[in-house]
Amino acid sequence: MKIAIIGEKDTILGFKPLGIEIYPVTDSKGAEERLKSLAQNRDYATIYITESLSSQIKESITDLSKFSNIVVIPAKGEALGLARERLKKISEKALGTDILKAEEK
Amino acid sequence: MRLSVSPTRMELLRLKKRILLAQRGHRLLKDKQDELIKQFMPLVKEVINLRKEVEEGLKKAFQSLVIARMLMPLEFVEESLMWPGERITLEVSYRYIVGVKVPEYEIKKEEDIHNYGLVTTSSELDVALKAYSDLLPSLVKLASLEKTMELLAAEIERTRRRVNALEYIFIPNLEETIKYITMKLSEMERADLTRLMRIKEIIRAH
Repeated sequence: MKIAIIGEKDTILGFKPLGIEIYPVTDSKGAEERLKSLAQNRDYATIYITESLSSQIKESITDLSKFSNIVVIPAKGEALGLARERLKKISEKALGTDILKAEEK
Repeated sequence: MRLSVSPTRMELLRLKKRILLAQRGHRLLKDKQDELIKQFMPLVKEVINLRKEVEEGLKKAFQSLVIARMLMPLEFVEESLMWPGERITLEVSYRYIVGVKVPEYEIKKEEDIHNYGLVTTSSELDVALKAYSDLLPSLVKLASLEKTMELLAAEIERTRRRVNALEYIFIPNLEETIKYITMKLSEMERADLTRLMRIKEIIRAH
């Protein structure tokens, strides 16, 4: 199984020499299409996508995560907190409360 | 809500068996739910810490790449990075946590990441690449842990629904029906008795 990363070119360029397949896209629409084709390919164990692109296509990411493992990473090294938001939602769904907040203190 | 069954002794026996089964199922599911939550809590903590680590690592790696790019022409950077030096594949294996299938990844590496010429590249590029390469194991681990967390959360929710359905709907319904049948049966018994007494009186009066 392979690893793929979708994001803005300069953010993901550094992953290229590691053998991760990089797919530079410029907007979230392109990212969505790319993500769809990669996820349904089933050849990729995990697909990383940058936060800035993921914010617009949250629904697709949720839908597609049953095919592949999609992980959101911060773009340009700046965390926007979207990934954290997702974790929060997951834990709320499971336990009925947000336990992340308590963890941080 | 009462189930629509005919109030007979047969039905009563059948319902009593069913309620026992339902109670046993409820107990088992409740245990499962507790165990799932017990597994879930430390996982959440781990994911948060790992994510923080990865986010900081990415930031540093990106910054060092930016520095590398400042020190050499952009075309050279892209050219040096264009050819993947390392080939990595992920070996996926599965583990079961309380019956939930979760993925685990293992990184298989081949060849070296530094396969570009030394003349046109700066040492900062090496540093940047090292940062990215060091980050990879955490990144992969994060992927598997987040997936695990997601799957466990879904399972917890599903189990909770089942537990609640049994506890608040199914078992009370059965109890109510059983009560209804017992009442009806004893009512019929009393009716029989009074009818017999009445008939006996009529016969005696003759």
